[in-house]
Amino acid sequence: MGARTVPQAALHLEYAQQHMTQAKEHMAEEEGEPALHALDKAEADANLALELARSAQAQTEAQEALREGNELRKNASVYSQIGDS
Amino acid sequence: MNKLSLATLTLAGIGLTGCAATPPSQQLLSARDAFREAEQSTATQLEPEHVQRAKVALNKAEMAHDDEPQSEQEKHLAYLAERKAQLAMALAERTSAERAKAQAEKEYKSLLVDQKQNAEARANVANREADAAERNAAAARSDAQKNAAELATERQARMEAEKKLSAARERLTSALDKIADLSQVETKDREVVITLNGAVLFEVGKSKLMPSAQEKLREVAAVLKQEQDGRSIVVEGHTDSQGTDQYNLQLSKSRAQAVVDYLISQGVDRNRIKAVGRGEAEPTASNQTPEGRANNRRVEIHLRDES
Repeated sequence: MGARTVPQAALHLEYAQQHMTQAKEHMAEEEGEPALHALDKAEADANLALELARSAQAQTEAQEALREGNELRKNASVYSQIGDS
Repeated sequence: MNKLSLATLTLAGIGLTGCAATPPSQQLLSARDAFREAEQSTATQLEPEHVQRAKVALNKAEMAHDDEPQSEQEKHLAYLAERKAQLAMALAERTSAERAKAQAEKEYKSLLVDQKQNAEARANVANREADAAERNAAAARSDAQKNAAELATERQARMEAEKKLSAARERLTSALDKIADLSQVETKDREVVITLNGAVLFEVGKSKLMPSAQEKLREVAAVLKQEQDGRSIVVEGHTDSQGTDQYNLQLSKSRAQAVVDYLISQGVDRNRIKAVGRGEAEPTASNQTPEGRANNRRVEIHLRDES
């Protein structure tokens, strides 16, 4: 989803991976509750990373759409002036 | 029992005081800040359900703090609450961006439709102008061709008229040679003037043609009959200055009329000929000498080209 290219999303993805690693370690030590807590955190960070990436993508697309609209408006203005001259 | 209860309450009170005094974990502080930020953002309008979830999560963390400050449970739940608040804001930002994108795309399409309509309108105007220009050009071409044709026709007609006129002049010259002794012929522009000597035509003071004059006028009539197409004939009578003006005017008119009557009797078209008396008003020579007066007594036949 491009989470690695969005700094904030990449950070939370990293957190999620760290929590996953911790969860595995706790599970290896048969520490059930800490493992579950680590998994909860991993899930929360993964969800946030995904949403931050999606949000960044949506913002980029919105800016592109606005830019295209402005470009079209600008060209229309130029053609209109040419047509009137 | 009372002492025990009091001691228990005192211990509990100490414990509560200890809880209230224990600051929240860093995770809980971060979670509170994140939730506050989410509450103040557009997430409350755009993602109220997720804000509510974050609130529930924060409440759990607060309860864990109340139960056991700085505990792992407090930190764990606070961590999850912070992430939920951040998730609500991220979702709101995405929703906001998607709406902005949809609006921009809608405006883009609308603008495209407008531009298309404008382009079509301009194209229609251009087409109409082109059609009009083409029609004008065709009309101009047609006019030019018509003018050229008219010019050619006119040139042809002029050539034919000049040819006809030239032939007529030749015929006239040839015919007038026959009456040369009787008359004098002049050509002025589009008018031929035949001047007949009055002494040859009339006796002094009379307006009746002499027999010899009739014979000569017959020749003149023959010429006029040939040349009367497209011409008007004006017969002008002139006198010398002897006698009163009134008398001379009347005499000149009577003599002109006598010539007209004779010419009509010889076949000249009566609709093309008329008599005019000029009296002594237009002398061609001096009235002081007999020769001059003889020249002034005259009849002029004017052939005017009316074509």
